[in-house]
Amino acid sequence: MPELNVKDLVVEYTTGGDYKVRPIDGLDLEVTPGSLTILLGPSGCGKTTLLSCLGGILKPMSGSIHFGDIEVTGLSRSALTDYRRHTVGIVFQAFNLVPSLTAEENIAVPLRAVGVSRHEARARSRELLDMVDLSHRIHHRPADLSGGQQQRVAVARALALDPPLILADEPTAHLDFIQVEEILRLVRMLATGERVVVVSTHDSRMVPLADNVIEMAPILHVPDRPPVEVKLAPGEVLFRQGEMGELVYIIEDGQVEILREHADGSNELLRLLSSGEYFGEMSPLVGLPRTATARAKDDVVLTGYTARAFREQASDFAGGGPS
Amino acid sequence: MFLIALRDLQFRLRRFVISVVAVALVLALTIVLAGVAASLDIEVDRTLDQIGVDTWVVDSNASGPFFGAVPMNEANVEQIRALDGVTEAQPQVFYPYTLNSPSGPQSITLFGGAPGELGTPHPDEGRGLENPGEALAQPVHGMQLGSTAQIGGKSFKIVGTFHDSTMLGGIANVFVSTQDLQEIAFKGAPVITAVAISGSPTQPLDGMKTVDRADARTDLIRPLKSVKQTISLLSVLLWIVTGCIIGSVIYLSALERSRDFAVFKAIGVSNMSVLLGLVLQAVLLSVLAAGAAVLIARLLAPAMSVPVAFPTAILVLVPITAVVVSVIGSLAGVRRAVRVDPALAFG
Repeated sequence: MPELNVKDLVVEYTTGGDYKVRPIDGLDLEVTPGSLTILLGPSGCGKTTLLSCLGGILKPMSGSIHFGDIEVTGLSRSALTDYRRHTVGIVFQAFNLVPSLTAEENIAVPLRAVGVSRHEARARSRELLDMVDLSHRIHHRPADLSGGQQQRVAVARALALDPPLILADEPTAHLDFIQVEEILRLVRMLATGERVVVVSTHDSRMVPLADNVIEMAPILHVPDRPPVEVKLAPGEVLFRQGEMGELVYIIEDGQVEILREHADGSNELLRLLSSGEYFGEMSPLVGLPRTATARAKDDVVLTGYTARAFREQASDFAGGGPS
Repeated sequence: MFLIALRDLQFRLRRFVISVVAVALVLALTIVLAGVAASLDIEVDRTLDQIGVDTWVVDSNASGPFFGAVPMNEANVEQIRALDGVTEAQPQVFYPYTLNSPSGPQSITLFGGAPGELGTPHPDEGRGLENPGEALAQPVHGMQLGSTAQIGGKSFKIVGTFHDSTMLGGIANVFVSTQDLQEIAFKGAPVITAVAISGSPTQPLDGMKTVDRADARTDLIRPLKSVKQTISLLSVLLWIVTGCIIGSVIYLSALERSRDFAVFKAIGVSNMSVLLGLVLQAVLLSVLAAGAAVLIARLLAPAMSVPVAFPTAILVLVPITAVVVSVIGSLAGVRRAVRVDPALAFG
């Protein structure tokens, strides 16, 4: 029984050759066969990144991914191609059907890639189109299909080689509610037998269907508390880029440097804030990691507020810096 | 992947057809240029075949019996005929000339020889030279069989004509007697440019030397050397243009299909399959264009003012070269396709 095991997974990459982003930092995950797992979270929280890693498309910085006997993170390039070919079926957010091919031919692509004869590939494609209720659309090209129909063809393509692991990236993102219902039913149906289905979404309508729900962005429950006074010596770091943040800071005295840490280890000064200005509001407000590092330029006195306390006083403050 | 490549061409049929036409036009020009270059050689070989001489005796300072000739005294003919190893010797005169035809001045090439002897050809129509005042000619510029032509102030009866007897890119050959040509060119002086011989002289030639057919060929081709170099250069440029057109078509295709290639890779299609699909498109484009180019070139050829030959070698080599050029031209697109990150499929 193939079980999906992810241990201490870290993915870090450089955005635009500029600064490093770590969307996944120490993720552990265990998924049992025959289950539907939903990765839930807002854009940018690492859902697609995790799917890419599970699909052998993106190599993590550290940690391990095991699917059954296969150590995905240890596979060579050619072995990864083989893994993607035989073990994984992927349903993409934008359907990603080949526009020049008919529905039947799109489904046949993975079959032909492994050397299945044209005749057999056609028979299997038709069987799958029948399964997704599209047997009347065999010879239609993607442009002639609705969004829901295209996504069903994409699901059929993912199932072509009957892979034990199905990954679906926002499968309902481009669909109306009627089409969503069709896809939800189909996705639920896939998680049968020994098959593992992992779906990334920010569509909470999928949650009741799931066997497991993984919150990709941590929900910060910061209890209301009185403002905190913080004193920093020159050069002392208040918070680092990439850390989750709980408080918004207002400078009472001194100067604070807001720095962007680049991939090459250098720091770029984004802003120099002084007394009366605030910074670090976005992370506690929207639940994303800090996008810059805050460091004291000289002796600094700050007051830290929770997001709610900050909102109450927001109109009184001037300025602001990266969160 | 071959089916996918073909389907993609169907999907972008209009662009593919335009590309085939563009490449075909360039290849047609390439074929025509190659045909012109080939015809320059063929004309010379055909003229030498018509003259029917394998060895000439020329002045020791001459570089050939035609364009490179140095005038000799006609008395040398008897001297050479008497040499051991020489079985026959006949005077030859070569003289490029401008004919005043009804349609205006026309370049012709005059060959003088002894009527009915070595060095005077047998025409395709009519009879050979028998007497002075007769001429054999390519039937152009009013020199049709049985007509009378005025050349250098003399009247010539055209007693024989050729299907193809031209040189230097369509300039007509005219064969007259040595005596007639000496009157036209040298005011009747006993001047010749070479002695056509049979056999091989075994004695040393005083102030003279022998040249063979290969030397004579080189002598006739020499004025065309720069023309042929220019044609070769233009051909290379046209091949580069062909490669660029095919390359840009394939590169654009690779750019537009980046997402498709990413999806293919994400679902386990190998790089080799992606690569072969694009190369197949390039090869198909070049083969279809080469076929169309042959047809276009054949249609263009009659409109050219110079002879255009279509030797089999050209018709075989052009498609083969087109395939090679297309594969080279498609490398940038192929490289791009192969380097597409499968993660792009999630984008």
